[in-house]
Formats: sequence, structure tokens, C-alpha cells
Amino acid sequence: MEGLTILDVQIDEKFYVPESIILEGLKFKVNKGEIVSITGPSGCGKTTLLNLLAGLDTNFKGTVAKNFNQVTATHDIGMVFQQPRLMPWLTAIENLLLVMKGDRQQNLEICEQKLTQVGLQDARNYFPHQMSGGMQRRLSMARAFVIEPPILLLDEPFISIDLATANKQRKLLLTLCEETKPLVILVTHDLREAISLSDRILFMCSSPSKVVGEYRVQLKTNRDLNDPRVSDIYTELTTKFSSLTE
Amino acid sequence: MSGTLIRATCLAALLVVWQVVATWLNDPILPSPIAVADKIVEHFNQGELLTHLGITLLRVFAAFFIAMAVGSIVGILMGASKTTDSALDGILVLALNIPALVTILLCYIWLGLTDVAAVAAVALNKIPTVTVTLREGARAVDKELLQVAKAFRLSASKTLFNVYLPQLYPYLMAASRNGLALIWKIVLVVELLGRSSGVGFQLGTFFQFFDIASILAYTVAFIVVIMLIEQLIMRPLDRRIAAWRV
Repeated sequence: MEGLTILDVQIDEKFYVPESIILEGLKFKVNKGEIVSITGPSGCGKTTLLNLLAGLDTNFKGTVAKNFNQVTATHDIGMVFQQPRLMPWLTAIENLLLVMKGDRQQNLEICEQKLTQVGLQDARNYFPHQMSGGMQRRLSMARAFVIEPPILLLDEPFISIDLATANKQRKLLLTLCEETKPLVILVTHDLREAISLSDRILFMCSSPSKVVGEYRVQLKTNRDLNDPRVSDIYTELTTKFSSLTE
Repeated sequence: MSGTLIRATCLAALLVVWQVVATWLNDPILPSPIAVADKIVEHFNQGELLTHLGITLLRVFAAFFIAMAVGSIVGILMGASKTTDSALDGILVLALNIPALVTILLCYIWLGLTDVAAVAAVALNKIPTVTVTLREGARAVDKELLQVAKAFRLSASKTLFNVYLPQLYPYLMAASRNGLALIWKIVLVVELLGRSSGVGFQLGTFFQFFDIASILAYTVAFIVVIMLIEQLIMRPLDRRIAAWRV
């Protein structure tokens, strides 16, 4: 199944007001199990693109084709937002159950397992406001993985948290990905993060934006933000795409 | 001293002062609390106190549920859509400013001296304020959480009951609280003007005979019932809804 295209994106045109076109002629393909980072200058339309991929915004010219096994998947996508966006009136376990479909008893077991996996088994009955910021983010990650989506979309999920917590979250993401191997699209402005986490990096330019560059990361094992190889690639890429990186 | 104790002491002090003043005046214009208590027992034993209380409560609940249902739906529609808001805003302002008495008189003239007219008049008085409160609630709904519902492909009913309505519960609660307080006062006026049963009708009769002890007896009995509703229904509901809040 390796090499099978799951996501085929072709955005001809996207704008909120006709005078200012955000995305134009943007296209890329992503294969099964691939982790792809999308990076680019701020305001270039990364979140807009993610909303189009997620189907949250359908007002654009172009196509987003998703090819996956419709029979086994209950969802097409899972999503992790910049903020945890948990339902404040639901407990940890209820927040997971909310997104599940089908038999409740069976779902409960799956959700309990996922809570344990992200280390929140003791916070099962906590409301979001009773959890730390890091715990909320782990729950938000668990929510995206618990439905075992073929496609996982992440919008700057490690922004505005302290370095140590962010590193733990990145490790958690990779661990969770190991298990179900979803196709991952990670939007980030942090190039080091993109290098350390992904198989491929796509560079977007300022709007009207499209994919203007691509880099295949060859670090398959021991991905760490502080790995010297990450720094080497970082230097190489910032030279090559000097206008696109900040 | 605890809050409950202070409250009880002050109420007891008020009763003592009332008793002393009534004894000193020794005039039927101000019956003593003991005389009022005697009257409550007397009316209770005759059976008509409970009958009239029951009828009034039925009217209160009927008007309450109609006003809450209609007011909430209109308010949510106005809060969710700018077009609906512009279309109905003028009517809403008009409705808010029609004196309760005018609504009551017109309902009786147009619908006859019936229970339907009575309940309609009370409900019509309350609907605009419920609408205003729920419109505020619908305007304050968190669009980011609705995006979560959309991204995780929640069904329409799950989105409504688990994502949308929980955000409106505080507003529904506020509307119910104010609603009950306003409605039972208006119901008495409606009964006084055009019904031959209920607490309002009884008060009118006692007024004609200058039976002040009976007026106070009915008032006390009614206040006790309303306070029981507050204690047994409203407060527990409030606590349940507030459980998840900081």
C-alpha cells in the first residue's frame, strides 16, 4: 500500500474578498502514512488551507480528493487545533466519547485505552478547567487519534506552550502516529519542528499563495529537535528558502 | 455566625416587630402574624386554599413553558442570523414596551374570558424578555467549538445537544429565573381581571370584603410555594449546569 495517494489537493482559487486572493494554483499530493509539514510566512493562508482540507470551508474553486477505505473508517479526518478546543461542560472521557460513532460500550473501552495512552487515566472525570494546559493539549490530541482517522490535520498544535511541554507533546504525536499510521498534515511556522517531525516539508509563499518548494527529510529514526542533523538541515533550508523562512 | 443563621434571625426579628406593632395598634387594618397563621390553617382546612393555589400554579407553568419555548426559539434564530435579527428587531422593541395590562385586556377582549386568553396574555408578556436574553446567548456562542463539531463530523442532533445548547444553558437559566418571578406576578393580575378561580381571584374577593388577614394568608402561602420551586428545582439545576465552570 506504500506510495498510494490518499490526499490529492488542487486549490485553483480561494479568497474571502475578491480583491485579495489567499490561495491560487496550490497543489500537492500526499501518500499513505506520510507526515507532511506545511510551512511559510505568517498570513500566507496556512490555516485557511487546513480549513479547506478539513471541509470546514467549502467556498473555494478546486478539489480536495480523499481516497481511503470508506468501509472501515468512521471519519475521514481528525483535527488538532492551535488551542485545545475541548467542550468545557464535558469531562475528559466525555470529550472523547463525543466524537465517537456507534456502540457506546465498545467506544467507552476504546476511549479509556486512549486516555491511558496519553497518560490521562487519572483525569478521566476532570473537566477541562480542572486540567493543566499540557493535559488539555494531550486530551485534544487523544480526541483526534481516538477515531483512528486516515487523515490527521494539525494546526500549529505546539504553539504558545513551554519548550519542555512542547517536546513531550511532539514525542507523544510520533508515538500515536506509529500505531495507526495516519497521513499527517502539520501546519507550522517552526522550521526545526517541521524537520524533526516530518517526512516531507512543503513551503508556501506569501499570498496569493501556492507550494513553491519541497524538501524530503531523510531522518527516519531518533527524531529530536536538538539532533545536530536537524540544525544542519535547518541551515541548508534557511539558505535555500531565505525569503520564506523567518 | 453563618449566613443561614443571620437570615433566619432577621426574618424572626421582622415577625416579632410585626406582632408587637399589630398588638399595639389593635386594628383589623394590620392583623398580627398569629392571626394570619390562623387564617392559613382555616383556608387550608376548608380546602379552597390548595385548590386555588393549584389552579394558579397550573397557569404559571403553562405560561412559563410556552414563553420559554417560543422566546428561546425566536431568540436563538435572531442571535444566529443577522437577517432574522433585522427583520424582527423592530417588533421585539415594540413588544418589550407594550404594558402588561394592555396585553391582558386585549387578550380577554379578543379571546374571551377564558383560560386560553389568560395563559396567552401572560406568555405574550414574557416572550420578548426571554427572546432578548437568548439572543445574547446565541450571539456569544463559540464558533471555534462549532468548528470542532464540524471537523469531527458530529451529527446535527449531537452538535445541537452537546455543543450548541450547553453554551446557552446559563442564558436559559437566567431567563427561567426572571421568567418565573415575573410570570407569577402577572398571573395574579390576569386572574383578578378575568378569571373566577385562582389566587388572584381570591385576593380580589378578599379585597372587596377588606379581609386583610386572608389576603396576607394567601400571599404567604403563595410565596412559600414559589420559594419551594426555587429551592427544589432551580437551585439543583443551577448547580448541575455550573459544575463545569471555574
